[in-house]
Amino acid sequence: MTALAELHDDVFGRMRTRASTFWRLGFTICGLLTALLACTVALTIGSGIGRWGNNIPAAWAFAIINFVFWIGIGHAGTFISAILYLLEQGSWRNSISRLTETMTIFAVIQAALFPMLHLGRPWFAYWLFPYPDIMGVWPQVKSALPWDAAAVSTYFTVSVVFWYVGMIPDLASLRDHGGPIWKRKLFGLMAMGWRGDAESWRHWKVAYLMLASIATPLVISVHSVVSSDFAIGLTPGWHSTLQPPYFVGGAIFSGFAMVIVLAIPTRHAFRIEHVIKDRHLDNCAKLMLITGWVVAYGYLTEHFGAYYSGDPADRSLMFHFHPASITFWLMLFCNVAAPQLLWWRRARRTEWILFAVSLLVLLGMWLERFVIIVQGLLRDQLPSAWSSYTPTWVDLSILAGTFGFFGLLFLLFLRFMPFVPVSELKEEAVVEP
Amino acid sequence: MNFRRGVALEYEDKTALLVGIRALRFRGLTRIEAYSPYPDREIDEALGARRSRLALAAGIGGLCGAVGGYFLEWFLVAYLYPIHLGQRPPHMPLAFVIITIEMGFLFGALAVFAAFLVASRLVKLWNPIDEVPGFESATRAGFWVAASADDPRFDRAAIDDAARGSGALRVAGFGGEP
Repeated sequence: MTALAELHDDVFGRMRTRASTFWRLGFTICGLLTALLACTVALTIGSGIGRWGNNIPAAWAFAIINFVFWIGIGHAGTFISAILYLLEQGSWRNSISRLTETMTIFAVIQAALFPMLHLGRPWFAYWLFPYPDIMGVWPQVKSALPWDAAAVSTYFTVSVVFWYVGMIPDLASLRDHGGPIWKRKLFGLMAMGWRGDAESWRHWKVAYLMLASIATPLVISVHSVVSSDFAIGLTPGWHSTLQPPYFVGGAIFSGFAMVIVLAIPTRHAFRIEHVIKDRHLDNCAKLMLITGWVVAYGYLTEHFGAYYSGDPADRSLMFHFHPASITFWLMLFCNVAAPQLLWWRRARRTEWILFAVSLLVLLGMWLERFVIIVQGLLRDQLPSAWSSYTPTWVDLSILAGTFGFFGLLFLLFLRFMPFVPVSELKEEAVVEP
Repeated sequence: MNFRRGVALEYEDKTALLVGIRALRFRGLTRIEAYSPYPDREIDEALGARRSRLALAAGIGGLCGAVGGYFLEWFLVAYLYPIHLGQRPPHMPLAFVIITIEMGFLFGALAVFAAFLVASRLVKLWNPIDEVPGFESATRAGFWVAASADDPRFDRAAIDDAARGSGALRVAGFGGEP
């Protein structure tokens, strides 16, 4: 048997293993959380967003915190699959690119849920798009809401197309080799008659390259648009040109943390440590460290801006005691202090340390959005309007539910789809034997 | 490219495939196609293939999306239903930029995808070459080359000769080749 055949049988063989106890346990937990999500979403739609803790002035609160958090998670997926592809980092990008692209798509699904529900009447969400209606009222494109709708729906569509095009050759492999006949028929439909002819490969290469070239500026633009929602408002801490790079850096930072959190259990569960190697996790950790410093620089600039501008509202927000200050200090610990462990190679190569740091970063990045959104809204220019905010059990359940739904989709993908891009590994194996 | 009828030859690896392609081309055959488990530039060169021009689709699609997006924004909020919001002019290029860029990305990507499906002749789930025994190895680790029977220089005896000379593992006709 040739080396290529061995590689093919090895990786596909491992991806086809039966559901382990670990998988079943994860599936049950995620399934229950998804059921909780369905119930609380139904409750929200049925009785309105008065079920949430949102108030005036904290009108954005949990919905927008979670939206920004989830959309940010997706960014590392596109960063790895598109930007590193263009930079010819195939030797470490290939083995994790499918996992991370999938993570992107499932994260954007969670993100999209929140602004839809936050509309209050989600059944009118289609009003965000320009369709010819008898009312003659069109989306107001000078407002940030249609920008978000355009950016997020474009990001989702392009990510799905990119992911699918990349997967076609592997779907054809699954159609042709082993497995029950119904699965092979299904993969056959999804592979759309791919046969690996040289003409198709030539077009595939260029299509993939073009999609990567489109996804690269797109990923930068999406979180920049999200940050514009904030930057065009006059709320203290929001109205700043710092926002786009600060948001994009933070998004990629949290995304890499999620990549590591997903890749470590996956490689053990499927025994593919020789495919997703220590070196790959090490590189993700280094990029997490770099983007972590971008975020730290953002915090520094934000505070310097508040001090130097002399704006009383900004200064009051940044430098005075706030009832929720604990979240700020916890955020600094998670996002600035904890990642410094990654300067040490030993920490980057010790899985439990890397895993723990990544979990802290995820927590820290969620807290960052809490700090920006809730604290900014609660301490605006008019002290008479200052207020407080407490999330309700529905808010907390929806947040937990999206983690469950994300996990559920991810586990199903691991179980039934080719989560390692084998055709790209074959090409890499030939170039670098 | 997939042929309706012809002969398919299997090779053990890429090097042998390249020898096989050259042997067929040496015999004057022009309608030949190779099948491999991964994309390879040397195979394209041996086939004398032209570069893919899908990048053009991305450019045209992206441009149309961006221009269309900007026009729609102007048409809706500056022409059909102008609203004065905080003294911002109805036609406000700065505010229109974001959706314009996003529509450029969206339609560029969709155009590439559509052009890829058309150019690669996908969505045809069955092709006569699928009937060749063992052809499914092309998506695992096998290397194949097929010669079309519609080629004016097609000659089965010459192909068998080329197959022997280049060390093909197997030779099989498909689609009722002559």
